[in-house]
Amino acid sequence: MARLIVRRVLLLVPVLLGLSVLLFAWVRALPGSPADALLGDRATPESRAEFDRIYGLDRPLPVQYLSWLARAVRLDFGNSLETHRSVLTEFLARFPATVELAGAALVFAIAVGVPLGYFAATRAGGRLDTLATVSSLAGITVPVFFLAFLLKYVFAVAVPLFPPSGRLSPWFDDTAHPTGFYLLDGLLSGDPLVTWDVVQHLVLPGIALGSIPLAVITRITRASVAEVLGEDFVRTAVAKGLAPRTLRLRHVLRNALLPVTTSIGLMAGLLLSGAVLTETVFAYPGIGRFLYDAINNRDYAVIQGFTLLTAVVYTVINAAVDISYGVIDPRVRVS
Amino acid sequence: MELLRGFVAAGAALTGLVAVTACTATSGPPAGRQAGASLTFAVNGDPGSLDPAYAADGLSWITLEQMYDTLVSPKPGSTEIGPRLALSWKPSDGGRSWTFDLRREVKFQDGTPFDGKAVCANFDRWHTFSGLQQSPSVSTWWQNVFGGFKNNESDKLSASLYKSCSAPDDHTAVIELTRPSASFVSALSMTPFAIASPAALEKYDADAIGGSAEQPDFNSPFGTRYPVGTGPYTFVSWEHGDRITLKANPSFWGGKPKVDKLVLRVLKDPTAKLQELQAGGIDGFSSVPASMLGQLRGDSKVKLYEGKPFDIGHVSFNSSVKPFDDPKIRQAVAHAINRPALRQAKLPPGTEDATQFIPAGLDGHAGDTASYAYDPAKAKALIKESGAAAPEIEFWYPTGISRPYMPNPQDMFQSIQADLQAAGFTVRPKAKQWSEYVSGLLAGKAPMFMFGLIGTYPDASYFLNLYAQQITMGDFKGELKKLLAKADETVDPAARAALYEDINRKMMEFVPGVPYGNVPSYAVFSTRVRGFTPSPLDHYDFSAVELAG
Amino acid sequence: MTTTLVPQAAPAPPRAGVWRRLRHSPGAMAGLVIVVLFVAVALAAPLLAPYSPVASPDLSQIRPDHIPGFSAEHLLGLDQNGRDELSRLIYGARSSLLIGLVSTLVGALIGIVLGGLAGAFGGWVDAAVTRFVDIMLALPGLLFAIGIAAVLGKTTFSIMIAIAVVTVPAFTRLLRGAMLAERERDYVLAATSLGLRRSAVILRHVLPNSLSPVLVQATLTLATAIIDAAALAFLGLGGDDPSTPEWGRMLADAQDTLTVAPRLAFLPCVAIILVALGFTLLGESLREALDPKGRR
Repeated sequence: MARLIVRRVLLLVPVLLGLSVLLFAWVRALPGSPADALLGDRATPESRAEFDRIYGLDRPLPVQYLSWLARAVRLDFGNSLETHRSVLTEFLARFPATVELAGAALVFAIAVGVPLGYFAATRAGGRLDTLATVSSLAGITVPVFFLAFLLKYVFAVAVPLFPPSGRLSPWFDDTAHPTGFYLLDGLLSGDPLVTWDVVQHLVLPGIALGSIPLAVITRITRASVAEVLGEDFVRTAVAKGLAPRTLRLRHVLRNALLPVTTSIGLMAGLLLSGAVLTETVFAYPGIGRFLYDAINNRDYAVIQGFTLLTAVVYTVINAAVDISYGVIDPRVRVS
Repeated sequence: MELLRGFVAAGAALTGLVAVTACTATSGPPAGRQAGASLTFAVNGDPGSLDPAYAADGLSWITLEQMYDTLVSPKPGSTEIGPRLALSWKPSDGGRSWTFDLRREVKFQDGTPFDGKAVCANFDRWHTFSGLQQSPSVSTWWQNVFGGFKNNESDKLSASLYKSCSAPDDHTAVIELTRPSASFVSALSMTPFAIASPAALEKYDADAIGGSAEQPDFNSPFGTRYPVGTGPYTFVSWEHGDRITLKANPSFWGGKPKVDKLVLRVLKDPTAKLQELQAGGIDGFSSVPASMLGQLRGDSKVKLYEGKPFDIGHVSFNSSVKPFDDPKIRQAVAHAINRPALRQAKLPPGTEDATQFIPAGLDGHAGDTASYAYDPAKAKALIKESGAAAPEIEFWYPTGISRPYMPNPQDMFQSIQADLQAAGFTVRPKAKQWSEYVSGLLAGKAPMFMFGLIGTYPDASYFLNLYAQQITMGDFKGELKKLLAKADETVDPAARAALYEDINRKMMEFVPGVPYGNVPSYAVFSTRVRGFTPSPLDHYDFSAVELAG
Repeated sequence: MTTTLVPQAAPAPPRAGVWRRLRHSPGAMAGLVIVVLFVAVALAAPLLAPYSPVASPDLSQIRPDHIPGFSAEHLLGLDQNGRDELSRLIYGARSSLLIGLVSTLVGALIGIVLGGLAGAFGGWVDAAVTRFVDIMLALPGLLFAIGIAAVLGKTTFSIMIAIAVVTVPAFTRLLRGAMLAERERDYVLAATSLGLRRSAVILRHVLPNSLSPVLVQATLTLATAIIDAAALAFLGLGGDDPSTPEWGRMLADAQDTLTVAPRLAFLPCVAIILVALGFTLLGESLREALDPKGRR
């Protein structure tokens, strides 16, 4: 077990190193300069050359890469040109927001997708099966940003049930944020109203972002439940007269949920992609939108730092899924 | 393992949660939460720094001008320079020396007195900037107005216009220049020249920025947590990417503001701003898109404020490359664009026709420049005279950006594109992301492009100098720069205006580009906000604003 | 990015009866009708469109806060530049079809080459390809596409490439898996033991027999490619010429006039959803028809 973990962690090093080289080459291949993004319609040719000199952008690329790498291993990714704050600070300020959003999306997707997929499989061809098919089709064919926009338009503007944007209402701006996870901060500071406010802000973007994993989870649940139902032990159990209810809950669902659990681990990339769009529509202060803005503004330090940190989080999640799989299923450990 | 029951319960709980949230969600704060009179205004982003000396962009200014004051400032609602921390000023030595008479009984927010010594301390600080502080994206405005520093670290920087500052008494500051300049007083109205408390600058290490070139660091304690000026509001807290909270300064020289708490909330998307305004999350926002004006006018709960047009939108050329090295082709483009239709369909109501590269109302605006009315037939004739058949033109437009003079560049581009095609041009569109776009056009890579000048301080020299630096225009550029230098050193107002008028006439003769409009800016506030005066220069003065009810 | 599920290899298909099964599936028929209609509209756009989608815009009736809506003359009203919205929607089918087809073909082609190499040679080639695909999958699809498009510049071609590259891993994995499974089958063993060259067996039998999951994936990718193009356009990444009628772009452009004319955003989006639905239904049904056991 320990060896598996060590091997998995060691494997991360070359992948991340390779990624950092690619990333650096890509960022510098982006046409345009951060100077001109910053100065915009006030830029002059002179100001740009002077900018490059001061920021060391006129040095050879390998030199720039090595000095960047030397600092990056100490988690020092430099400062954002746009906000003047350290990249790590910016990441830590926004990462919890995106985690809360992705979490809300997953909660929605699991809470709706698993029962829907289950009943679709046990009552194949029934109304719930049709609903499952339709909702998974919708999850795939309706663009996230359109769904996000529609939800916002209907439930925040036309019928103002939920706040249309942001993460916290302005009248809570004096709340302390020790962890950065606002849901938690509200409880820690003894102000459940804050947490409640955060939940309200999460509902619409959570549903919009959750539409993608909802489709995936519904389909996987449906397929794996159907598969388990067809297996010999279920037939034997039915033949032996086991109560259908007990059978379904104890055996079918338990066995069927394994692929669902693994698929959730694989959804990080999907969620982050969707978060760029969802955060854009709901003006939600997460990492997706910030990274996208950084690409447009040629904020090199932020692009490099955020992408690398995201990749680390992502690979660690995948490694954790692999390892936990080994814990659940001993056969994996052998191979 | 009652997994299924768990999931069903979770599903039911979620549905219930949504329902309950929906029912209890209100568009206002819970009881006891809104303490006193609080005004929330949406801004487009975080300021770069709370230190005005490092505030290169307008985003920072809107926040900083609440906490700091400049020596001079445009009179409310006008483009004419009036008093602020300085009550009056007068030149001597042919414009090389300027004496400022300072406002009495003014204290910084840390209790230290505002006096001539404080003014000089600020000027000397800017003048002795070193290292990273000399970056054009940090001390942009010092470099724009004063050129270089005491010790220039790059040969790209020019010699400094600033020579020295002295304070003969508590309420006088005398600024000596290395050459005469008339535009510099009006330039001092810009927020980067706001006066900060010298004691606080020292105490909170305002100059402790820099680190190394590879590791630029602007996080001085002063610029992130302890800003101290003389302005109407004092700093409370800064939630990055979300909001800045300020509170009324009880000892403000203009009297304590009537708004207790001012929240500047970061919201980028105009639609999100509108929705927050309607939901009560914010009390107002600036840069209202033209498409929203109709709807907002019909809304009895909000009030629109129009700032007089002061920005210039233009379509310009690289006059050194074919086919734009031919003046006939440049004139043909000028005649081909249906500017009145463009203004009417794509720019906010109140947009005025632009005849030259400075806004009307400024000294130096010429009434008799060559004009190029919309005339497709004449455009066709000019193309024919030039000898080119269906000349192909590469026309650039930016994406991912909205500027007051081009709210939706790609949309405006399509109108101009159609006009040009109708006149017989073959248009090759080129789309570039904003930063790449600016890089490209400054390097002369864009043969034809849309761009603009934002009125930052009210002086002809600002618009024309910037335009001359940005645009490629062959041999004409040298001549233009000489004329501009001469005009800037002329201190007598009448002689100076005459020189700029002459420059404007020469420019419109040459046609380095086609100005298409002077664009007003709009702000909107909920009707509970009273006493706001819109400014053509995008200043937001909340010191006199009141909240009704 | 609306990527479809984690691809899995389908067992070798019983070819016979595929069409029969398709014909009896309402989903497949609905999908087919939508796809055929969509292709027909794209091909016959000049005949169907009442006006030119680009030329002679009429700005005179347009104000920043007013765009004329539905009328007898212009069934779906004008767009923000005074052009006939219906004609632009009809011509938009062409761009969407083109972007979808080209990026899917390019992606499938690269995927087939990579997956084919891995499946045919196995060993270190397989290991190298698998690592490569893993690295590609380590990047969130949409950000990856944004990154490629940002470097290549704003042309329709660069958008196609960006979308194509993102689809490569799915194709590669599918073909590799299918080929590895196919190689284990009895007939391969029989053929090689009869003295047939292994490469000939792989090229003539294993590869063709493994292509059906790729075909299914391609149909599904057509849907996601069209949606992804719209997502990129929504984020401000589109072709050079803004006057080209393209649904994703029309939707993105309409963001500024949402309060004035919501239909300008709504109509192209409905078109995108319909077409994506058509391809998805067809692809799903095809998968089921090819592999009736493995309903998933």
